[in-house]
Formats: sequence, structure tokens, C-alpha cells
Amino acid sequence: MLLARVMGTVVATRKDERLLGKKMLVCRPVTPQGEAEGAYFVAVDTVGAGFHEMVLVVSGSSARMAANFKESPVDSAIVGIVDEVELNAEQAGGRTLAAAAPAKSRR
Amino acid sequence: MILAQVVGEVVATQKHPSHESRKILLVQPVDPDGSERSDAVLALDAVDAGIGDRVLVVQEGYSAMTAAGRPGSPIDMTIVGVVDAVEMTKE
Amino acid sequence: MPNKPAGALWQPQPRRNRDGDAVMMLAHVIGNVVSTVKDPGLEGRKLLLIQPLTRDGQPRGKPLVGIDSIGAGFGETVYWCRGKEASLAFTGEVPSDCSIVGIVDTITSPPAPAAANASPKPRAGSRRSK
Repeated sequence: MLLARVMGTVVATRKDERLLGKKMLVCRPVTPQGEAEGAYFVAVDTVGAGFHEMVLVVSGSSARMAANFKESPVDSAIVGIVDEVELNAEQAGGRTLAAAAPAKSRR
Repeated sequence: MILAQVVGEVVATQKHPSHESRKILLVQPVDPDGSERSDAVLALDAVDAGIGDRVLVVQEGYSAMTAAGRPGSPIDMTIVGVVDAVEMTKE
Repeated sequence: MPNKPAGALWQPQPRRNRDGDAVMMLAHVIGNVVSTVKDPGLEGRKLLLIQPLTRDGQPRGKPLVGIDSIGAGFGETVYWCRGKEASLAFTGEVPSDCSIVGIVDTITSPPAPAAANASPKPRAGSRRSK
């Protein structure tokens, strides 16, 4: 699974009927330290994630095992909201890193 | 899924039978701001998209087959939605 | 006229993930992820942050989050399974595309054939480059 941050939402009225009522969020992969890195993708939300939250994303065929998506044509699903990421001592001095908002966020 | 722009249509008379009666569209993967990323690819159309539409494309085999209504077909990308709008937050 | 075998122009590519990194099966456990709000299939599962490795033990590609099925801990070298098969490591409906399925004790690489007549025999766990 990937760590990613929710960066936007997609509105699509004309779509496969099995996607009706499903929230589709634009995400960007992040490093364990929370920096955005990599290409944007769209994932179906199963946990009520909000903008800027760090999330867990499952891809591929396994995405259809999340939340009754068995017959839905999805290949990316958000399956968790990350509270924190802990890196071991060699990686980050044993610090726990908060996952909520990035350090430079402005509200 | 990825966002993509429909940039063309492919006509192929000789093709796998399971690809019959579905449009094969040339799609250009894009970032949310519309900038191109990676090469254009082919996707089967399941929502009657047209050239110039921004679309959602699923890239996993079983999902692509299911969306196109073609079980057991050699398809790995299908257009599953036409995007009306993408609302982004500030990074 | 030389007879090109069918498919001569197509070269098989190593399997790549979304961001174009080649995917390997060995990894180091570098951390863990805590998540309270999550899919019911992930309840009670340990989520480990792993760094995929090359055959020589060097980091390769981006860290991934894998579901632990074997009791792995920080700093251990493990091997992991990707794709739909990753969810087969568990009973029940677990949406996983990366599961940690083994803890590595040692890695032994036999010497490449050309190195047999050359200098010292490689030690177990090392690999001679061609």
C-alpha cells in the first residue's frame, strides 16, 4: 500500500453505474516524512478522508476487496487515515512523525 | 484510476473479438492541472466519451473488463467516467 | 535476409509500480504506521513501513506500507508479496496489495559460472557482478 495525501476531489456525473455515490479523491503519494512525491492518481474513498489528510491507499485488484467494491471497476481505494508514522532509530532518530497536516500548511 | 484527456480515436478492423462494438480511444494521462505526463495510451470506452473530454481511466485488468462488460477479455484500461470538474486544495 | 524471430522488437520490462520503480521482493522494515480510522478488513493488523531492496541489499524505489502476517519488527529483512495474491496471506477479506510473508535469515547467491576459474570463491550472501 502507499502513503498518500488527499489533494482534491473529482466530480463526474457520467460514469459507470457501479461508481455512483462513491467519493473519488485526487491523491499524491508522499514520503514517510510527509513530502509529496510522485504522480497524482484518483482513489475511491471508503473511510471519509478529508483534504490534506495522509491516507493509506491499496491498488490493483485488491482495491476491490475494500468496502464492497467487488463488482466495481476500481483500481485504487483509500482504506485508512494515517494517525502517525513511526520510523525506527536508524531512519529518523526514533522519532514519531505526525501525519496530520504538513509542516508548512496555512489555514 | 488516473485522469486523462481523450486525444483521439483508434479504428482497428482486425482486433480481438471482445473489443468489437466498443470505441477504442487514445488517451493522454494528465495531472489535475492538465499537464501531460507519460505517453498516450489506449483505453476502451465504457461511457461514450468524446475527443476533448477529460476522463477517469481504470488500469487494473479485472476492473477494466468489468467496466467494459467483457469478462475474460484482454483489456487493461477502460474509461469509467467523464470528469465534470476537479477541485484541488493548495499544496 | 536474416529471419527475425517474432516479437524481436519487444523487450520484456521488469514489472513496475505506478511511479515507474522496479518492484523487488526483499525489503527492510523501517517503521510502522498507526491508523485508527480504516477499512474493517485492516482491524487488528500491523501496518509496517518497508523499504524494498535490490539483491545486494541496497534500497531501491519508494517505501511501501505492508500488512504483517509473520510478526516482523523494526530493522528486520523480510520478503513480501504484491498484488491480489497479497490478500491470500490472511483469512477473511483483507484488502492488501503488499503483505509481509517471511523474515529472511540468510541470502545465499551461488557464484556466476564465469567466476569459477577466477579468484576467490564468493562468500555466502555475497554476489559477484558480471
